[in-house]
Amino acid sequence: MVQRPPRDGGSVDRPADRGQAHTLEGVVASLILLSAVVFALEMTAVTPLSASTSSQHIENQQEATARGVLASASETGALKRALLSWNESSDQFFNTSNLGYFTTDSPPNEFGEMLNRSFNQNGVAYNVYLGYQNSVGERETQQYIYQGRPSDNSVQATWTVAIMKNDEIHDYEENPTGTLVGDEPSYFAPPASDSSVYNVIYVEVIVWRI
Amino acid sequence: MADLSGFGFDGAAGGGNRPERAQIILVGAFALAVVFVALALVMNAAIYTENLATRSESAATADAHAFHRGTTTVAEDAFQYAHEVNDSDHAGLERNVTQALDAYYNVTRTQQAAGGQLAEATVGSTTRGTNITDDTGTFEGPSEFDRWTLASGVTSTRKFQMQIDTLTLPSTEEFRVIAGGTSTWYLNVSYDGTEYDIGVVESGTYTKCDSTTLEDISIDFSAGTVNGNDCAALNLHEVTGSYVLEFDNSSEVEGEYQVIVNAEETYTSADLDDPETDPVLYSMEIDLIYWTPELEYQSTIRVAPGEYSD
Repeated sequence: MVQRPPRDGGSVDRPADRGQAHTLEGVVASLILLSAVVFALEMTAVTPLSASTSSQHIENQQEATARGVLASASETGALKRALLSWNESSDQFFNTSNLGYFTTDSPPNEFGEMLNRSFNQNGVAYNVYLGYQNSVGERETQQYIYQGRPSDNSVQATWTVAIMKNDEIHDYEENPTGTLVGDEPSYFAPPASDSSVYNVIYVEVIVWRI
Repeated sequence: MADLSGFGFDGAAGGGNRPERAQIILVGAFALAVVFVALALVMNAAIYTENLATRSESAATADAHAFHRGTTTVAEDAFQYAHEVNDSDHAGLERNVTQALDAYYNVTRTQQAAGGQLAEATVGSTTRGTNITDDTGTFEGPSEFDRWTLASGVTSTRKFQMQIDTLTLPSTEEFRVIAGGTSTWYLNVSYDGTEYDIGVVESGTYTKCDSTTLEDISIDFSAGTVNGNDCAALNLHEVTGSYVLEFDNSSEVEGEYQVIVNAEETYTSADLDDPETDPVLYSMEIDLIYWTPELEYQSTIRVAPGEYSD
């Protein structure tokens, strides 16, 4: 091995070697700092408001509850009765405010009570939208219940209800009035076909925590 | 720390291990930091995994199932509407239900498409049938025969109910509802002078369903009950193949009955006391398709109100 002579005349204390050590120290220190920052950021990944496991569980439960409410309301006929409870003189659903839809007070009918029992007491808000086909064949949406703008953690459940041509408009107590839905021009959904299916209502329930 | 020779190194004897200790501290601190970061990563990986696990794929299946149930209700409503309102011939009934399901499909496909799903519901097939009813007088046939054929070429029945109000049976005779001949299956109502026995003879084996002293007997063949009580032997739905449905000794029984058979039958009689036939749809099958980017769901909905079901 060839031994080179020292460039600075053989001094033992060499600044060039110190520089390398300083650089290495800088790199290591930055790595430690970076690790600490990553660690700190990771610690804040789960907060009560972040999309964490717990909120996902709650969202799943709320979605299943909303779907269950729609399924049972459809099974008992409560959903259809609620959709047919139309005030012919004011051109809106019975018992709604001037806005034409329900707000924080749920509809005073069986469907409203089911929603109330499922959500209202648990600090949960919900909107209900009714999608239908308008007279030119396009999709339109009518608000049925509007309690506010849903948060990012909202979930949705839908159900399809067909209004038949021989279904009757219901009064505020959900009793048939004798007027066929096809004979009521003020009803929010116009006839979508000449067949026995008058229109198809796409009921959409949006649920979120407040 | 960069000065690995150590602060205050004076070259004294015994201080030669200090630079090595500084290195150990440095390496130890770095290793500890790495361990902390690794722990945080492991913890977050576990949380993330659980998070993904809770985003159940069953949600998409539940939507498909919701659409299935919604369509089932529509199909049942359309089926009922066709028979209530458009009480015409078979072709008219078929046209009515097909148009109704087409209208439903037209509206619902745009609604579902807005949510990113492809949904289709069409009438796959319909089975023509006959509604046979008699709500007055005896159970005699159109030509006043005692043993007569209600329908032939029957493979299944629905809404088969019978209410017997008066029986004038001698003890030597019994009223029979026969499916496929007496060697295959028949229900009999017999009278021994004090009690009426209702039972079923299947392939020569008799099983009693109920006994009563009253002439008021209700038999529901589709539900399998006699006077509201379950009777496992009353299993007309288990008779396989095509059979002839007959009544025997029908002149000795008064009351009313109804049966919908999956066969086309017409009686020519103008007598008000005679049984009547109406063309109806026995059943209807709806082909259902529900597609999302993650799910392909296909099913067939069968509508046959009042048919025996497990």
